[in-house]
Amino acid sequence: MPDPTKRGTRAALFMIGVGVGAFSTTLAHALWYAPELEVPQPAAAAAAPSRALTPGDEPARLAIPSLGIDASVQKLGINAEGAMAAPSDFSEVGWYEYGAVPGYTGTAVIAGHLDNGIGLDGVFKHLDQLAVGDTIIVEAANGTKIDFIVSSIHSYPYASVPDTSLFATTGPPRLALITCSGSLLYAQHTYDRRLVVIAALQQPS
Amino acid sequence: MHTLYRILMPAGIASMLFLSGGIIAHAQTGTTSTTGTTTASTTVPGTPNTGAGASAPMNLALLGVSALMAIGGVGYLARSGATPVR
Repeated sequence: MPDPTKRGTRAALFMIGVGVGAFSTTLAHALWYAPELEVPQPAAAAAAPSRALTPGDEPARLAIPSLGIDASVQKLGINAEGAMAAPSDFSEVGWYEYGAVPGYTGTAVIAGHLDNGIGLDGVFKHLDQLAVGDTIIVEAANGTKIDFIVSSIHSYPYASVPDTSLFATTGPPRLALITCSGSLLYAQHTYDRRLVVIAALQQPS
Repeated sequence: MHTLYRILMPAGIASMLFLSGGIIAHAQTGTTSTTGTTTASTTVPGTPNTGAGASAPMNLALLGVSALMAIGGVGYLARSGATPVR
């Protein structure tokens, strides 16, 4: 005959174990890690770089003084859905590594999170407060700092972003910052709009 | 105390393994219907999904339920004055 006291104690310990495990796992994923599976970019379809990329040209940090942003830059590819991957950290930004290099021909794209898995602010939470004329600074891995000036700010329905011009690898050197905006679409796990900030390379005076 | 570990550790590990798959799917930034397009020479990706807030209600619910489970278990042990299982 099983002892009811022991059974109750075992059940309580099991509840504690499951509860603590589930709580810590959920919290860790919601606050510090936003994993997204990236798929390799097919070599034949890779975008032509605007120039030969050397390790030192890669962006390492992004600073937006007017918003108090100073974030590390991750290199990002594409996800299984064919979209640019999102940064794996809510406090960092990600550069699309198969596109243009900041400061050189084409539009370099850098994305950042609006919020995290429990609704707290992501690095680009206040990107909508940028104004035309604000300065954005990209620091390359070799220490070179490149200044951009915000030239336009756009908000698009999430399925209608002009991807071809946004990810252009030709044309004048520009920087595009992108994040989510608008209203939540719970079923799709996303927001209904995308905020895109376009900045032009500041010419040396 | 040894028995306590025997019960707590597998339970905790099992729950982590079970939840990690599901939670990752919710906590990640998700996917959008914006997919890449292929032009003559390049593949243009779709825009990234940088809003994980849509997963916040699910994550907050999981946090609440798991916290209640743990608190309930501790409460039971405290009330019953249970000693480690032998």
